[in-house]
Amino acid sequence: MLHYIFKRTLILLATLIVASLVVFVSLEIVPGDPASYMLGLNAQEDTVAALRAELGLDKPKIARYFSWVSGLVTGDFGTSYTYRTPVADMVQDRMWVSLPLAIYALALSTLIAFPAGVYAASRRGGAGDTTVMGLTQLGVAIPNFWFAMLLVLLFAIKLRWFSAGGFPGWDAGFFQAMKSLTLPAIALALPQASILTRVMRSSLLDVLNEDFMRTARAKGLTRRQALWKHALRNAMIPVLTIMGLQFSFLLAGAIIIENVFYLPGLGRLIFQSIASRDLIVVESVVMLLVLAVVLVTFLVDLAYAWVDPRLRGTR
Amino acid sequence: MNDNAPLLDMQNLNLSIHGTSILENVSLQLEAGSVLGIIGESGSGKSMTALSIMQLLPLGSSVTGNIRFDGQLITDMDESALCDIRGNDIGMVFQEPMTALNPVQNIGEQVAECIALHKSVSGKQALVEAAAVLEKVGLPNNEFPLSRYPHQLSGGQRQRVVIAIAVALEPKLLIADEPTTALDVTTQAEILELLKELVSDSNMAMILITHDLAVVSEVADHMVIMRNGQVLDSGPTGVVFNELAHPYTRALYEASSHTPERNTTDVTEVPLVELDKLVCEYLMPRRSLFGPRRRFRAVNEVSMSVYAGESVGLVGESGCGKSTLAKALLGLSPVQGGVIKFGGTVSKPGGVLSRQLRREMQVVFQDPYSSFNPRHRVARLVAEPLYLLDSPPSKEERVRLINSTLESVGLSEHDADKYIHEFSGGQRQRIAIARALIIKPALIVLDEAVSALDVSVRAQVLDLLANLADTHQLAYLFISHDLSVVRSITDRVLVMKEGQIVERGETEALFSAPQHEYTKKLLAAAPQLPRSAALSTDT
Repeated sequence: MLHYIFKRTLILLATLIVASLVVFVSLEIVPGDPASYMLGLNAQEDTVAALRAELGLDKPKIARYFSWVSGLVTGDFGTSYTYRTPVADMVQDRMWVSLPLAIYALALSTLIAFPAGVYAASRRGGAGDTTVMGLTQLGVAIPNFWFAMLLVLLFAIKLRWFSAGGFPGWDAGFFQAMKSLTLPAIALALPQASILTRVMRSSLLDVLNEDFMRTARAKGLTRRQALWKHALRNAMIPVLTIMGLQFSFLLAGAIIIENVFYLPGLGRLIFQSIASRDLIVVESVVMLLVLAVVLVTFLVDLAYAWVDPRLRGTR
Repeated sequence: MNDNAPLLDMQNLNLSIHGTSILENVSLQLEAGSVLGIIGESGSGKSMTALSIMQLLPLGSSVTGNIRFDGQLITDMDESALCDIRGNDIGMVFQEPMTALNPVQNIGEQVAECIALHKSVSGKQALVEAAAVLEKVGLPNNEFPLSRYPHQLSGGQRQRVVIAIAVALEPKLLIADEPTTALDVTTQAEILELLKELVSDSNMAMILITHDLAVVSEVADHMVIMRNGQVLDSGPTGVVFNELAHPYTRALYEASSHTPERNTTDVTEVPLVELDKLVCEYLMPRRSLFGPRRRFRAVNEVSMSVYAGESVGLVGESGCGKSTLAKALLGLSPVQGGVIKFGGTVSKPGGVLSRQLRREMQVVFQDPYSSFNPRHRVARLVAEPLYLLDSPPSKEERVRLINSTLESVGLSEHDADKYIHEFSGGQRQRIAIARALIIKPALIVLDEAVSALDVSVRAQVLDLLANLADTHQLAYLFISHDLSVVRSITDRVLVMKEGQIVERGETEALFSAPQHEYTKKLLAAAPQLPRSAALSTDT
């Protein structure tokens, strides 16, 4: 088991190093000099040069890479070119919206998908199964921004249970903050829950056909007991994989939903930074997202080993 | 309960699944403490008979008829009553020990679950009892602690765990469905011995389902012979074997001990294939963080030769390296040392074989179901090796070749346009042989080529192989764990153990007077068909 964790940790570190190189190099290639962009079209050449020196853009690339990476490691993400505020603060504010939103949406999607998947699998081919499968097809097919607008129309405008958008901040109280994240989380969770339900169902159906399920029934377990005690854990590997992918997506891929609900999240931050050539913000946020994705993958790998003793490596 | 009533009484059982009739009027009885063997080829309904007793039939099954167990009518019971009986009064052992256990639970949990389910004991107490049962089936706790997972055990050990689950509560009836089919001969002998012991020690009745007449003859008191969902023949085992009253029983018996007629060929001076100190190794996963990767030597300095027109058997238990040896010979597996000579020329060990060499050697694999691309028609499957020819045949010539090859293996030219799923296992193996035969090789490697076939089909395929060897001057390397088949079709035999050839010799001489301890052990473990009075008076 230790061997397994060690190996995964090495893979995690290697991924981060490669990712930082890729992020740095690709943003260097992108046309557009931040200094001249900040100063506008009519800026004097020596003013631009002075700003470049101030921002550290005139140093050799290798030196800039190392100072950027060492900054990341120590929590100093540099200063935003456009806002002139520390990137770390900006990211931290946004993180406090995006991370809870992603966790909220994933929790909702899991809470819907697990029971629905188990229900559909245990009634394979029956009316319940067909209904669940039909609903998941609908869930995947509906664009989530459109679904988000429907939610706003119904719950914010018609029923007035929730606000139509915006985020009051955690200072306004946990309940208020969570309330403003509820509609976005539902909109994000719907397609994810539909996909997860389908994965759960098909994975369970595969396991239900395994020989050891027959052994379980021959022991005298009822169909339901056999499903809960023997099938579920075996069916978890593909489900965990999809959950890991979904969490990474929810963290960064919520741009559209953040826009619909005017949420100050990471997605919108990246979007704005790219538009204003605020490369240092883009670099930092992308690296942060890479870190999140790699960490989630690492956790999923650990979960695999927890679920399946065959992966623990030592014989 | 009436004292004279049998423990199990099945009367006129009919079973259909989604409208297809599976069992027709199956009736059988079993006394407490006795062993009933159910014999049949694949599709005969023997497993479905067992699952009917457990009432664990697939969805879409409809059953008529009565099954009375221990005085109770099983066929009328509701699900919760059935759950009380399963595992408690009737235990079941399945064919595939590799997949019959839950891979994510340790063996202690899996045995204890059955105990805790039917007895009102604490989880801790159930584990203590599980340990005792595992001890009883030959898995002592100091060597096999309860915390072991199935993947840490061999096939035979896993089957012992499955048996432990089945007998944990000392059921009145144990159903064993092909319990030893997936195991080696020596392991098979041990498992059969264990089952016999359990049955006699605890006065348990047993139903042993198998396709192997020899196995039944060693274990069962009574036997039932099934075909196409019907019981054709039944009676005390000794009587059934002695009289072979039903034509099908007789056919099965003859097929089981079938020896194809072969002409002895003159062996040439120069060997067709020669292996000299061949070594094949695999890299093993690291044991510790920075430890070196160990090597597992699957084939350890093996030297052997096959002469033109000769049939050589290679026997040994699973993991002894026989398949690796065959793959190395065919250039499918890397070689770490030694020399392979074909017709006097040295082939680059471990490298890609020349087209000329690949023309001379073809192979037929074990599984007739997974060794074909299901999306190609038979014509294309069979004609595939033709690309090895330097001048490919014309279109007409190709069709003629395909047709004549299909005919030579007992199929017709109409079969060329069909897909592989339209054929039975035996027919597929004929197609595999046709594919090997089409470029007229000098050697065909048969890797467990008849192991997956029913006895009657196996007898036909063996006849075909013997016939083809005579007409085409073929040499065979016949790899099998089945000693009786090897005995019937080979001229010479090599016995392999742990990567080395431990004994070699003329087939008859070796089988009648084995020298090496391991060969003796293998031969002793192989179940023997009893002699039948009915046949000895005939001849």
